[in-house]
Amino acid sequence: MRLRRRHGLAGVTLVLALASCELEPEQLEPFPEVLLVVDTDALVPQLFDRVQVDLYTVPSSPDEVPVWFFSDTTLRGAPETWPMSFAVVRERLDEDQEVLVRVRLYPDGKVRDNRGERFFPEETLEQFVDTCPTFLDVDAVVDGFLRESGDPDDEGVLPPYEPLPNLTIDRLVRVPMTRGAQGRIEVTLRGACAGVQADLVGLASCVDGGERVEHATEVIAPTATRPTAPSTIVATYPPPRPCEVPASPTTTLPFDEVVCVDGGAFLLGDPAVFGFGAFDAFPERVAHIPPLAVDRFEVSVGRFRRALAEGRLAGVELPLPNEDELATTSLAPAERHCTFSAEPRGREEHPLNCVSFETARAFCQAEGGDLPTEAQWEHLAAAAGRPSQNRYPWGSTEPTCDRAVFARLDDVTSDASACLDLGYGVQPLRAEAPPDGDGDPVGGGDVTPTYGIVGMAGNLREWTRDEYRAYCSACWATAPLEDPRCEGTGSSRRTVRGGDWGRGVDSLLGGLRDEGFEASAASPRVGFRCVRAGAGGEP
Amino acid sequence: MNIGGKSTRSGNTGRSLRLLATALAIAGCVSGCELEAEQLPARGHHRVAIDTDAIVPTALGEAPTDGTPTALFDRLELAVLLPGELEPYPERVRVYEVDDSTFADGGSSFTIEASPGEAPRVRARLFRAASVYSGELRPEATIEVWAQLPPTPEEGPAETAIFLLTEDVGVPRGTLEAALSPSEAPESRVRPGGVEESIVGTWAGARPITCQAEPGSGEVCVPGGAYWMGNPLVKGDDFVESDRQRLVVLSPFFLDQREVTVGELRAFVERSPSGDVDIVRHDPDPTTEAHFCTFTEAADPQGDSRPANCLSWETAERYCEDRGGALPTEAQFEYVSGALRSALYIWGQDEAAVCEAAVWGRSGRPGTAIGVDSATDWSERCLPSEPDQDGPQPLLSTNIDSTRRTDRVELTGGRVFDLAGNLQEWTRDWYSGQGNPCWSRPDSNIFVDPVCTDPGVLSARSVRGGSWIQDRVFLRAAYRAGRAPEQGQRFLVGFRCARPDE
Repeated sequence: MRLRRRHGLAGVTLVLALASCELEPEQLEPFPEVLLVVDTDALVPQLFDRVQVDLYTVPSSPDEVPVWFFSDTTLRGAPETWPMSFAVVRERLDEDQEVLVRVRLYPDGKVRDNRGERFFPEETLEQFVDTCPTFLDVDAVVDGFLRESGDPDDEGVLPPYEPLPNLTIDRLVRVPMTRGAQGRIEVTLRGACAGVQADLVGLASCVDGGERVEHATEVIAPTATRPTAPSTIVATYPPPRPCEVPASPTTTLPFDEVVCVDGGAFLLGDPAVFGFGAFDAFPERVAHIPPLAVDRFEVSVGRFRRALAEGRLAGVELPLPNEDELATTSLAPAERHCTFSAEPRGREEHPLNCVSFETARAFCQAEGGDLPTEAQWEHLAAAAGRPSQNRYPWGSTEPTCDRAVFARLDDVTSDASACLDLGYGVQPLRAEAPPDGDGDPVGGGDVTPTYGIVGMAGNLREWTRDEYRAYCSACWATAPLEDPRCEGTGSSRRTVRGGDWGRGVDSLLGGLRDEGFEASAASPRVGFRCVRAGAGGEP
Repeated sequence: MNIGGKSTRSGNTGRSLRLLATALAIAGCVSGCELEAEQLPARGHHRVAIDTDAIVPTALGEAPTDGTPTALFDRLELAVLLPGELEPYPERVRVYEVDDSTFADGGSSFTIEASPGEAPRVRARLFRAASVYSGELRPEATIEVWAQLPPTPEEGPAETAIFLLTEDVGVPRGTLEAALSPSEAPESRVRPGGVEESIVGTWAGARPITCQAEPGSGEVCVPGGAYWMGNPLVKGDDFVESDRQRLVVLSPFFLDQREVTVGELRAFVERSPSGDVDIVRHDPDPTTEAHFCTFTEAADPQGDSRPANCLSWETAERYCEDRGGALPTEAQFEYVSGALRSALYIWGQDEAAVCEAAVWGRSGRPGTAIGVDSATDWSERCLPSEPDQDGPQPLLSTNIDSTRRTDRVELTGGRVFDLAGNLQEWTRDWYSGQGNPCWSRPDSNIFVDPVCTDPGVLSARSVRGGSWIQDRVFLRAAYRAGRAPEQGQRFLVGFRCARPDE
């Protein structure tokens, strides 16, 4: 917490204070002063913990744009430090005036260079189906979009960094500074407004988040009184949504165990992801995920066979059969790597692969569920059941061969063969008895904390429901916070998630999304699991 | 309600920590609302002053003056543990954003309350927000001191000062089990009493030092200084991973503004014994890899402005030695590629790059040696419409009017071009993984003018930067790769020279 230097030219000072020691208006100099009390319902500190406050002039005509003149930042990761308050103090005042106050709440460290605000009109997003907009052009005003600027004669220095708009709750308030007046304005930063950038041209910002794009900038008349005790609504949105489905229905087969996973919110994407494909895992975005009943394991051959036998998959194209032993070398034909067979061949406890998106989805729907969306999948792989997001499904420690089924190729020149000693190719869902004959019998794959979901990182990649589009494309950029997904773009490709037995260590990151497969394609690297609604409604 | 304590130093921001039965409360306060002295607790408490010699940001709104070193740390975390506790309760951990004003006037002071006779421990850590990934503090980029406070007095304050020194980065002072008791010893990081005058920003390693000698033609002086080599966002397989950070101190040096061109190299080739030159000539057949080699025997006004590639590391090093220099080290290359401030890309922290920003993403044209015949996208997203624009492009500096080109960094003496894209570049170092003693040591995480001279098991030379064929992530400053002498794809690699300031 810092006391900021007085700002000479504009004569306005920003003083940040904790709620617990709010400024007493009467203790300050007898100049106009407005106390802004800012609260939020957003998830602090899980998602958001840093506040930036900027002051701008309010343009006197529609041809002008606001001019930045002052900024301050503060870390607010402790819920008891909310609501926070700060005073906008005028050191002198010749005439009544308004100040534009911009308050941004975002995750610490999620910043980009501050080269002046770069606004990208939402209506033009439509053209970006497979590519990213080039609005981050650095050098000059070649895109015609407004740049934030400070007064050139001003001694103020623009902050070197600014919050990433996708991850920011961005609010504008016009504060009247009236001669001799002192008062207080209460502002609430809504978690539902995350990712909606304020419009400094139209002087508008997301207020209540009922609609993501609802904009309004109010001029709030300060009130003279102050309440007796500040109270906060911090971390109430989205509200806790516990999963209410019975954890494990009665089954006759192993591996159709269901895990009941509470709803949650997290940052979808990972800027560290190694983007081999054209589709990197950024920009990151906020995603709220509903409670889900999730298959603990990838769908097994035996489970698929039972659904067939029970007639629930009528008309569904079968997975590619392999009536031979599983391949033990990459010299074998691709179909020898498939686990399915017309009659059981001792692979009933292997995960099903060589299955198209259509068949996978038809299976899940026949079971009363669906394939997970990418966001649902990543929530399970990187966030669900943990205090902070992890890099890998098991945590953030670096991968080792015994941690997940990966790097099982037999190409010794490749990074993807480092774990070949443990066996070539796809592995059973459950390892044979552990070597010491004791312990948790889920050695066939990586395990997530708390929920114990197996095999997200390795063994087989998994079909998700989403069409394969860049996070910066219109489909993702306009997707809602709540259960976001990308469908209906006309793409025939669907995203597969996770690593597999034939890929290297860098494929295990929870945020990795570097490939999309044709929905009709069947690969020995790709299987699936299903999800069902965890508390009523669609999954 | 928290107690906001008055600072011990007039004009400084006061901070207060309070230990309650189960929760630690930390409150900040500003001068306008300081509590009256009589409201302060009468019973015994601790006053802990924190000081550091680290380079922290200039306070927001203050213009950095010329010669201000780039900030290396910007967050301070304090945790308080009562006797018997094995890890701090989350409520007793606070993170503050710090800048030079935080430590001004004799350090930053905190109040900690505890029961009389009880002796809390304090863990103080200085780090930077950009080095945190997935919520984890990276120990190698953190200055950490564990202090064992004396028993809380019956009344009045017990004063303790904690010094977070840059030389301790990556090497914690004290542990949970063996926290440091206050001592007057000269080397002590925990001392009784307060802090008279802050040493913030005095760490000498970061001081920008300009070159003494004059730059040669086409060279620019890269001032000496310190930066974070490695970036937590640069993950990958063993060969490219660079997510472990180290504090690198560099002496000033001269660096070529541009990659060495075909025309420049030809003069050297012509006067060198043929056995000294290992270079593959351009092949007109578009189905060959050598088609993407730029070197030709005969002068070619168009081709001569392209950067030279397809040459061995030895040939490149010999060329630079001939000019009185050497290939740049990995550390020098990354320093400039991160704009001297450990930025993610040469143009800064921004992720997105337009195709025109640098020469990248031009792989995959069918019918060529690098054609991609795959159902999946690879890095062909910037493939130009005309095939003659595949491959290494003429130096971007010949097109400096383009406002969209950002693959360059502005230094005092001029610009440096094409570090991120067009061609990867040979560096002086042998390639070794980031865990090698070349790049990580248990006793210190500060490396002065490092260069890896250990061929190791890989016997590969390190190349840096991305190339015309590669995807955007390879344009990140910290990406690294090794190329064995016999390894193919030399058509992706060119070079430039560096020269010591002497």
